[in-house]
Amino acid sequence: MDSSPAKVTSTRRGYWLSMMALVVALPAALAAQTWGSIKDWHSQHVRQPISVSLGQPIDYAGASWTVTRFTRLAGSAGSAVVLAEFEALAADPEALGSVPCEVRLSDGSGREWRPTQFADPVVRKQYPEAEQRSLCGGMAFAATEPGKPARMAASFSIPPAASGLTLSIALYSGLPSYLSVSEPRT
Amino acid sequence: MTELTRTTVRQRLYAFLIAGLGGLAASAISFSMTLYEAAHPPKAPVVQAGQQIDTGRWFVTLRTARVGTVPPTGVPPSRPVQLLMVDMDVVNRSATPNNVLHRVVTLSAPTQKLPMPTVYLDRDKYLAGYFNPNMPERLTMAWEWPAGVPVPDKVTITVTGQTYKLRDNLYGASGWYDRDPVATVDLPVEKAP
Amino acid sequence: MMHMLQSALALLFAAAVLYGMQHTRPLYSDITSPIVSSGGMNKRVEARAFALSLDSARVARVLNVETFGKSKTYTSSGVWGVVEGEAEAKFETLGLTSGEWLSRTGVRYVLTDRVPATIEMMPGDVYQPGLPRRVLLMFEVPEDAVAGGTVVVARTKLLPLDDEIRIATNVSGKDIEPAITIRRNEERPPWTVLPQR
Repeated sequence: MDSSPAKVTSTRRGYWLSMMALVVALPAALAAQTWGSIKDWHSQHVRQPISVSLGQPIDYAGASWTVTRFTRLAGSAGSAVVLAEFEALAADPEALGSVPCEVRLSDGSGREWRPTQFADPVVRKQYPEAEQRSLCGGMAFAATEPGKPARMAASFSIPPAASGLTLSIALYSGLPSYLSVSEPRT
Repeated sequence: MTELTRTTVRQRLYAFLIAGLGGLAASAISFSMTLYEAAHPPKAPVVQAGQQIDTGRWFVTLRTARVGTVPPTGVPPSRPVQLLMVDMDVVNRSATPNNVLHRVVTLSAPTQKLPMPTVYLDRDKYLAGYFNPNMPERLTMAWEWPAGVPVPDKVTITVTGQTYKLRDNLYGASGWYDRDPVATVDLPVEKAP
Repeated sequence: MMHMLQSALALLFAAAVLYGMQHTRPLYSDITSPIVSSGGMNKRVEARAFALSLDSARVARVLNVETFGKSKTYTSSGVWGVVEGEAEAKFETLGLTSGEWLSRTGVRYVLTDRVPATIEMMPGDVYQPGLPRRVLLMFEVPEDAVAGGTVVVARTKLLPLDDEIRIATNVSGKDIEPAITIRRNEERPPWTVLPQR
């Protein structure tokens, strides 16, 4: 058996070199594999609010946005209805038409409401114009002529006790930033 | 090179050879078995109408076949069509509701490319949804017969079996899998208005 | 000689370990099974995302459905189970699309798809946080699946590891009513179960 000291050291060195390389290569491979998932998670969960107040225009996702109404009404069956109206003046409405838009209402305790599909009858009665507006997204932009703002609305059904309401408008092309409007004090 | 290294090299060579040959033999046997099975498809027994067929997941009893223009809803479609309708009784014998009967009951003769059949629940005279476990139902399966093709006097229905696998090969998930035909049934086609 | 015996033993041991692992590994459906919260009738059962309570479970041989002045009778080779209760989303707006009747023997029956959508069953509604809503579930089950049945409700059937509420009904399978009528209402709740009990 060949056991000359020189040969043994060279085999050993090769062995340890490989082990060290593994220590580096394994985490690197894992990171490369999960990078897509990390990015997805980040884009879904890490968001930066842009605070706006009612009536104040702000540039976001290639349009000038203004929230024109944020009001609370007494709804049917013991619920409260929140009506939000907003408009966006886009340089290129068609480009915005294909971007998904997410409108949410949240309260101080972390609850989150989606807009209701059909507005409560009280909205129809008090703000018939809001009924004509479409939800945020492609439809709203498709219906507008260039140079005119797209008018949108969202209504929510919430428990009357909910407080500290915040409206958020997020266009997927504008993420991680989103527009955040607090309920005006009355 | 020393004596010892030479033996290890030879040992390794043998190991590689044996493993390689074994694998080769296994794939050759598997391939020829598949070939043989494809060349000799199992002959499904011919079953009389009215006789219950056990497919594994279902009990299927084929009753009658007829051709007509009005589906079981009684409402003729706006565009006149020829419908080949087959009446049958089914019982779902699995533990979950299911509605994929069109994979179990197929029209095999005359050979004709047909769209997916519509299933009507006899009880409601309306479209059938899920068939619940252990609840016998009578239903009508209706195929739209292509215009211009003569309607046959006799059809052959093939009933395909399904087997339950507790663990499938991919995920180890449980499920029902299509198997070979378990029966064929010849039905005379009645001409109904 | 000794060496060969050792190898053979090691091989046998490996085979035994693999066999054991193959036969003790959990089923895919167990690994991805929902997280269950259980309870009984007339109790609010809390899951992570929503809460549910059931206050009525009735069984009838025939189901009549009245919508817009029209009545249709639904017969069955088994019986109809009509279950009512209240559901509430806790943190975010959600739908409850999956409802099942689980028999004592483990057989599942899904919400009936025979009754038209004009009768608002549980999957047709949207549940808003903080606003409890009446729910109606209807099942068609064989008579022997009634006693000891459990109602299983989840947001969807497709999400593994999501939460699920199981409520054991108190129906005995003995007091089966001849017929129950579901009438569509124009106000809330959008249905009435008749005869009233």
